[in-house]
Amino acid sequence: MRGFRFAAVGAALGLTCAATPARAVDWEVTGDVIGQGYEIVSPWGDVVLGRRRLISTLGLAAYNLQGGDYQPFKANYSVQLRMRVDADFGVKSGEASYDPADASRFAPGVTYAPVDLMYAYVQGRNLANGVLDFKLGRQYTQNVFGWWSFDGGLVHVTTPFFLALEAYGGLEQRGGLPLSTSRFESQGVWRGAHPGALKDDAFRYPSFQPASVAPAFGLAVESTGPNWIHGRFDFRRVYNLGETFTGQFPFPSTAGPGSGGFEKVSGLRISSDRLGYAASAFLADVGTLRGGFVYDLYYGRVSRAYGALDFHAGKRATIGLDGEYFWPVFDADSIFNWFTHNPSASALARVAAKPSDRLQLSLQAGTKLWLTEGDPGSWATAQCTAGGYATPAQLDACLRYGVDSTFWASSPNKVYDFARSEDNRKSKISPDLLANVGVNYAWLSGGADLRGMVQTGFGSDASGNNRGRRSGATISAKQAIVPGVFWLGGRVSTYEWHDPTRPERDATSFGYVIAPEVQPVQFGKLRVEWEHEMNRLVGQRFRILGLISIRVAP
Amino acid sequence: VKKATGFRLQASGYGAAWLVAACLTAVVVAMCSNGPAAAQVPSPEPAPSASAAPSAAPAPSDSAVPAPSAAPPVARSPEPVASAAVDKSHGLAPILGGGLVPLEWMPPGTSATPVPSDRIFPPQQMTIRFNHKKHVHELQQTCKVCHAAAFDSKRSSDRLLPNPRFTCDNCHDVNHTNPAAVTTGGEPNGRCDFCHLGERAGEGGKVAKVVLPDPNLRMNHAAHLRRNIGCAQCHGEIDKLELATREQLPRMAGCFQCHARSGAAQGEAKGDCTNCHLTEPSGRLQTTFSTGELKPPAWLHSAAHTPDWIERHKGVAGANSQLCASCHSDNYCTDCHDGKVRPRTVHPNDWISMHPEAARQDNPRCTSCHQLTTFCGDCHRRIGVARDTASGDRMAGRRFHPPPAEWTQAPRTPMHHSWEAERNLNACVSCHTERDCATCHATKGLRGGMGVNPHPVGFANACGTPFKRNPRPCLVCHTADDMRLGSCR
Repeated sequence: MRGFRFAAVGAALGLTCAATPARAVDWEVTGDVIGQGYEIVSPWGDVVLGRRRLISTLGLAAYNLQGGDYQPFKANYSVQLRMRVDADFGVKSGEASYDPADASRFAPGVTYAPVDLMYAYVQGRNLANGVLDFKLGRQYTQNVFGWWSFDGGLVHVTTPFFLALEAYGGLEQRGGLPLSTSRFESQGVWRGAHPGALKDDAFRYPSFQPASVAPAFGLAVESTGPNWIHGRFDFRRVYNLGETFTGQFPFPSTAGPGSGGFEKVSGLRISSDRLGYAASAFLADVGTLRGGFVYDLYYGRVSRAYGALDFHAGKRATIGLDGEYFWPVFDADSIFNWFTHNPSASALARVAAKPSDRLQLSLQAGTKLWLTEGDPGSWATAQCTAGGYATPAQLDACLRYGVDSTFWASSPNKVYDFARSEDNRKSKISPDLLANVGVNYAWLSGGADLRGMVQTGFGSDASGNNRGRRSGATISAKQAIVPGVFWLGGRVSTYEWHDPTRPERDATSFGYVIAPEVQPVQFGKLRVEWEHEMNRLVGQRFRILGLISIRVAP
Repeated sequence: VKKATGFRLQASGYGAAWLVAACLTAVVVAMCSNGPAAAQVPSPEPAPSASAAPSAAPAPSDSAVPAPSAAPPVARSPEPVASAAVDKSHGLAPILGGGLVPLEWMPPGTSATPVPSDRIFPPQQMTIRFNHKKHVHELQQTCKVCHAAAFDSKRSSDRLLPNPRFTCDNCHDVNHTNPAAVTTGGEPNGRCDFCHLGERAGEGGKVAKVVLPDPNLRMNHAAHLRRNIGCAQCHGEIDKLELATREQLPRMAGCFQCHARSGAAQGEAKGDCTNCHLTEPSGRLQTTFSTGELKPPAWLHSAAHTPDWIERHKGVAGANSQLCASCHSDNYCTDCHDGKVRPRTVHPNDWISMHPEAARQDNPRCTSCHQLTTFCGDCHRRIGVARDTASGDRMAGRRFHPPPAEWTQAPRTPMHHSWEAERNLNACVSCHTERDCATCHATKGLRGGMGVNPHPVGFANACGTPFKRNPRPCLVCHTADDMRLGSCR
């Protein structure tokens, strides 16, 4: 692990230095050091995590390696790198290191001070008269699939025929691998390093899969040319490699040797396989239309689709409609794909206005729709009735204490048959009301923002169709006390929430933050935040954060 | 007498006082004038840009317009000229009287962007009275007569206002050969205050400074003119206006009429941002200026950074990631999307307390930035909410969900976990591992479950492709020889 780190840093620095010949280049060094101290109180009121975190990032960049200043449409080379360490001095003994003799607090995957390489790449742009771009190294991509990171190469070719082609390939960044985080993996699989004793004792955590490299590649076709319309088609496939447990309970008679009784599969298999398209078109005097979708080839379903239509109502206001359809999908190694039955959908109307250059307003209001196969409010009674609980007393017992085990043994099992009948699984929609309001006001030496929201379900808590409520608002402001040198920021908020499944956890919260910020030198800034929150569940809670950031770019 | 009073005010005032005085003078002149035309004309308003703070914009060093003279110009006739001879109500605003300019006379794109961007065109101080309409139509002068420099200009910082020595002096009775010692003739049209607002006769004829900060833009006038792109195509119908102000500067939506194509081999009128906007050494656009921060206009793919931008930006970024990367670095995005410090603009105060309900409502969607099984799950395991914490560390008597009779057992009551899983499985995955689910949903026997079928209706007809491409999730709950896998094979 350490070797990898040194190698990566050395390679990056070497690349930077090697690419810096006698001619001048533009370089930049950035860095942050963030110290935080706060406590996390368990849902039952006691302090369970005393977090004392120190996060530090270091960024290096060298631009215009070709020499001279940046010139639009001219060939351009750069090297960029950023590393990070996220140390938590509040990790208790035994949480991060596995000891078979004392694993009571062990949480697989937790480490004291993980170091990760956020990105490190060489980039070339506008090569071959603007036809070719490339990136080589650890890099991010952003498209209709969302954020993603991989180690490899990307080539982007812009043709004269209103199309650009993009191809990339490499290894997906995965948690548990050197200098990597799990942030960019598909959801649903708990992966990480199995070092030391855990490697030999992994069967204690059969859901915790050993990390291994994940080959990936993608293709994209993108429109170029007309600015008023843009579309991009994307395809990406990621493979899983290495061994993974299947059965979650040990059966030594069927499992191979050395597996603790757990069965495994191994080899190349799909992790994710998706295609998507996103497009946007506008008429400056009229409005904008955009939309897109993602189709999951592994599962064979549209996992996300969205659309938005905005009209410019006069010179300072925009009205629009936004809609989204979302069906969660997971890594193809994950069983969670089998548990998703329905999508959720949202539809929002929006108004955004800019009455003056200093004031901006926005309002979104609409609904979020949740679907279930069957009506939660009447299902239990119907299921008990179908199961033969005929009398009121029997029905009451069924609802209070569940189906008696003797019914499960009956044949045909009417309780089960009821549940699997399509007639009883007609979709039931539970709507939430959703609204957001935002106001920005700026003045010469500062500004203030208001953000408020409400999302609430309908119906009684007992119906099973009310998904709870959350509402509140935050006002934040920042004022330059000594312009360019000293600022004072603050934030006040109040929120309340209600969860029908946990009514004892309802609360109203009030919190404030005071945040002075000073920039004593042009290349450095210091900010301190004092945060104080209070609600009936956790009482008083405090957080202090200090941030030093530097940026040197001669 | 009243007119003379007006001039005394101008002469003795400083700073903005001259502007007030100019207005008063104009009002008085208009009210007292005997000429029928003057009597019908509403009071002239000051030039719109004259209200801009002079301090906000540096004076151009190479301005072709006379700067305030170190030595006062030689004024041949310090006395005011009779109003009957000179009508000064013209040339103070685009439309006589300060009316609104018809949209068809404005620069293209004005309907989408009513006023030019402060970030691109910082506020100006235009202290010249000038009547374009008269010069073009009555006096038959072309644009090039006064703005010849535009035909060779390759930089936005070039001064394209006329050099009065070679233009104004040809007709006006004045000599600007030495800007520090301008001499005026006897004709009224040669007097400083014929054209210059704020002429301080009492201080030797100093005139108010014209302030034209450099535009924050790349602009090659010569290239445009070579392609026969006329002035009006970018600046609107200035020949129909009197004073040309900042309002007559181009709008980005207008530029897009020609600069509508981006990418390689798309001609000279490229639509790439860097074609016109200033750039940092990194190649990204320069977005911070003394007049504010450059942000996209509302009409550009609806990318306006409105207060609800956090909720909307994914749709814009998903359709065109390069649009965001024009201005934003990787760091800007990853500070939220791969950050280690809670972004205050996304998660409000006391987020730790309220986030369970937010996750349940899928607002905001956790998976936009977080890995459920690690980022969420690791913390939940450490505080004892998630079940996968080793049993010895599991706190007794603490249950996150409703009692088993409601949450897990049949019949499916309104609080049953299956409804929650159907609606928002992401919330489940933030705590639960596969073993939790397999405990009941795996098949009986070797897989160790209770055989509770979690599949949706019709699943048997849809499982073939997934099984062929990755059988692993099937084998978590089914043994390889399970007859029920037959329909998937």
